[in-house]
Amino acid sequence: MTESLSMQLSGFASIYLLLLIVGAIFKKCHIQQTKFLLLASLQMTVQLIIAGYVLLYIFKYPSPIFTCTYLALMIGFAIHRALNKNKWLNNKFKWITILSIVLSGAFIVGFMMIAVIQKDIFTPQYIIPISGMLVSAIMNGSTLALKAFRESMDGQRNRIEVLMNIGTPPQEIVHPFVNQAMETALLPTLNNMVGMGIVSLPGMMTGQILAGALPNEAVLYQITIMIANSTAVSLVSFATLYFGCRTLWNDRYQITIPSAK
Amino acid sequence: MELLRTEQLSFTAGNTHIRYPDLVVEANKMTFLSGPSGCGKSTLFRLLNGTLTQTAGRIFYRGTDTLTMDTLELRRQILLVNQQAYLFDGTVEDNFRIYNQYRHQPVPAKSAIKEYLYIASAHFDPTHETARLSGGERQRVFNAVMLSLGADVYLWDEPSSALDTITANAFFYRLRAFNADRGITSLVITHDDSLIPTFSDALITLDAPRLSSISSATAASSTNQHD
Repeated sequence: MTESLSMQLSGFASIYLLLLIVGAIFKKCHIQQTKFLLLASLQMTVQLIIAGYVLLYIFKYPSPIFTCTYLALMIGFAIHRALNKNKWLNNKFKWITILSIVLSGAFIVGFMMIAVIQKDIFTPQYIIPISGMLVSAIMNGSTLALKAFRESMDGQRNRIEVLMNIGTPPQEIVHPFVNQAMETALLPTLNNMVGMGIVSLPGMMTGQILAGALPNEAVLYQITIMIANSTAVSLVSFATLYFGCRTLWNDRYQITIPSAK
Repeated sequence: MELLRTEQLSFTAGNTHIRYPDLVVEANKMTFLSGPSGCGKSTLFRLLNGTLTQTAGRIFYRGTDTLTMDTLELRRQILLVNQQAYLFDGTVEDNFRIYNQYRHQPVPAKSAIKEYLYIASAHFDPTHETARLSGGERQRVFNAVMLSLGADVYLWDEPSSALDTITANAFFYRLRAFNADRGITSLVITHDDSLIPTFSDALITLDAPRLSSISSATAASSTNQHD
């Protein structure tokens, strides 16, 4: 380990003082979320400390079983979050969402490991952090795409009914909503790319620089991750919505417009 | 000639329980539907064009059970004009184009568009922006666009709900002539009973949901809030 990485415990603890500022602002503005702020900070601290020690162990005793378990938990959590935020999904649509998350995750992580990084696929130091970034992008992408899809369809009931009543095939009625939702899901990622390097030095790159990597090498990793990110988001939102939207109509082409539950 | 016929038709969903008398609709006629709110007039329209499926009973279109037909083809022939108009952003002309494209058919010529607008008393230039139309104006343009789609049977659900009496009369007068000319069959739901004697060739009266349906269906409740 290089010296640049280590942090004094007292220095680390001082960061929690900043929460007082947040708490004071909450109080001043009557934001009733002080409890949530404390809980969220505590939960994050505990989760990350556990993750740190678990990873320390996995890196020390690398085994495909540990790595796979870790990845499975990660993807399981992503699926749980995406489904939990979209309770309106029917059963088939849920399975399509799950499959889309798993398959796009497997594809993009596999591509990163085999084609880009070119290391043994189960090297935990590589696959776990890379999957972490990509799976969380996938989770956010599918959650956002599904939410945008439902909201835009729900807001256009009249249009959907009229088009159904004149005999338009359901896929032609629904596809504009699919396209619109995909755009909504992708825009944050694209915006992020545009600001990169000027407004922000992204987390991964910052981490590598703090750990002693040369900046010109750190950017290469960052570029690959950003492109992998946007690919992952497009893949998952496309697969989820393109195949999932077909579950919204029956064999008599009657569309059930999803509504918030 | 008999175009549509129903047999022991009923529809149940949640608290809604509707039983229809056996109905016959003659071709090339304008048939009005009347009955109190909640008797299932709009539901009947949706059953006829297959956007809802009946719980029991059968519907025959030109002698064929509609459950055995391709539903999209059925809806192309039996077109339901929504109670609530929907127009796309853009011009009046754009709406003629977009709706016809959704049915995969050629866009009507400018002269035809003007004729449809005239029938629906929508005296606007085809280049008029739809965003600038009021509620009643939207309904008129919407009716005109629907006419341009060229279905065999039109199910009009309250096409004059946002129109004043004079405009409504003018619309039905021209619609009748247009239907006779093209051999189109129309079914009409209207809140305005005064239109019925003047424009109806036939009248179907539906009763309020009968209490007897409770005993026959042994349902706990058959109150029907749906129209």
